Amino acid sequence: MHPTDKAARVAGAVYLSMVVTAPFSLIYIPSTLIVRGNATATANNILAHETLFRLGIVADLITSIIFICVVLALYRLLSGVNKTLASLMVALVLVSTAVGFMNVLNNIAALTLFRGSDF
Amino acid sequence: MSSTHNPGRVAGFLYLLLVVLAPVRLIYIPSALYVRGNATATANNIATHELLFRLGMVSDLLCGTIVIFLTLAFYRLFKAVDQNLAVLVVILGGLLPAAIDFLNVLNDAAALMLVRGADFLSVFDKPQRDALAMLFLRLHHQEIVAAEILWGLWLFPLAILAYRSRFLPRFLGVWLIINGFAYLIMSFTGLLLPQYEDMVSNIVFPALLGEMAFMLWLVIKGAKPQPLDASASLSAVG
Repeated sequence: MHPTDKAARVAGAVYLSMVVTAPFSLIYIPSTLIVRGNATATANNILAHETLFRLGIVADLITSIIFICVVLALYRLLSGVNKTLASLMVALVLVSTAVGFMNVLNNIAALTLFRGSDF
Repeated sequence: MSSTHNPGRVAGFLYLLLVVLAPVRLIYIPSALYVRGNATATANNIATHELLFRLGMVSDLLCGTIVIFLTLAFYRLFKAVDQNLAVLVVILGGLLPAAIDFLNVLNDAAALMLVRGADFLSVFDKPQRDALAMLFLRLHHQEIVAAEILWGLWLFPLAILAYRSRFLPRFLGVWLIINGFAYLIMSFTGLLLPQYEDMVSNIVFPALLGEMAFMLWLVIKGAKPQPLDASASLSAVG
């Protein structure tokens, strides 16, 4: 296989794996657990399916990690075309993954409040 | 041999700085100030030892800065071994953990504001403020649990680089891989099965000494990438 071809396939395969994990936390979890405009029902759903909710948090983090691998694979594929644009692509994804890592805190905060631990 | 001519030792000293500073906020502050399950006692401790708590925040920020320079030092040390892996070390071990450290300080700052109870916070009663402060401290810890994924992952490219480098002993690379898995296990237990978090971190603790061993090796022995012609003549002799 031509090296460019191989780089393209690697990038495509990694990208594909993200298509599995991302919708789990972005679409599946909200659609099953969140009841629009009803905080109590949402809280009860999340408490009843706490493991599912926690899996969503983990899926978010894994998506961020895969996203880094995707963009590095794309960089290898495309840096020959225009190095500056390729670097910009990597930088923007890195910022977005850092945001992704911090954003799970919102879910964790919600879970902590729903559980209403001792304090 | 001066350290400026030994990129391994530069990385080692930065690593040493990190190993000294990181436990301030990670271990010392929680053990000195937190009272488990008691928001009022924790808040009172923080109010009494505000300077200590602020030092914890500063140490978090310093660590966030050190990891950038540390991973850049590793990049310089290892880029001849495999540049792609060296870039991965900088991204997973330096840039992302640094961004997280810098944002995570906000949780501590929020907790401290609530503990101090500035006038605009007087709409909340003291017990409510204490509970909210406890929530932010808990979130600080949870973000660390999430970041442990990165603390583990960056060790994989680092370990492979050390293993392949031929200027560092291979057992250090193996130990770093184990160390990386230990962080991943700790993180996933904390996220999915928090009731086992303490138990698991006690079990995997010996694995975490891999970074310590690696750091000490770099400080004491240093590491110098062999110039290409030297390694070629060596292999010709061998």
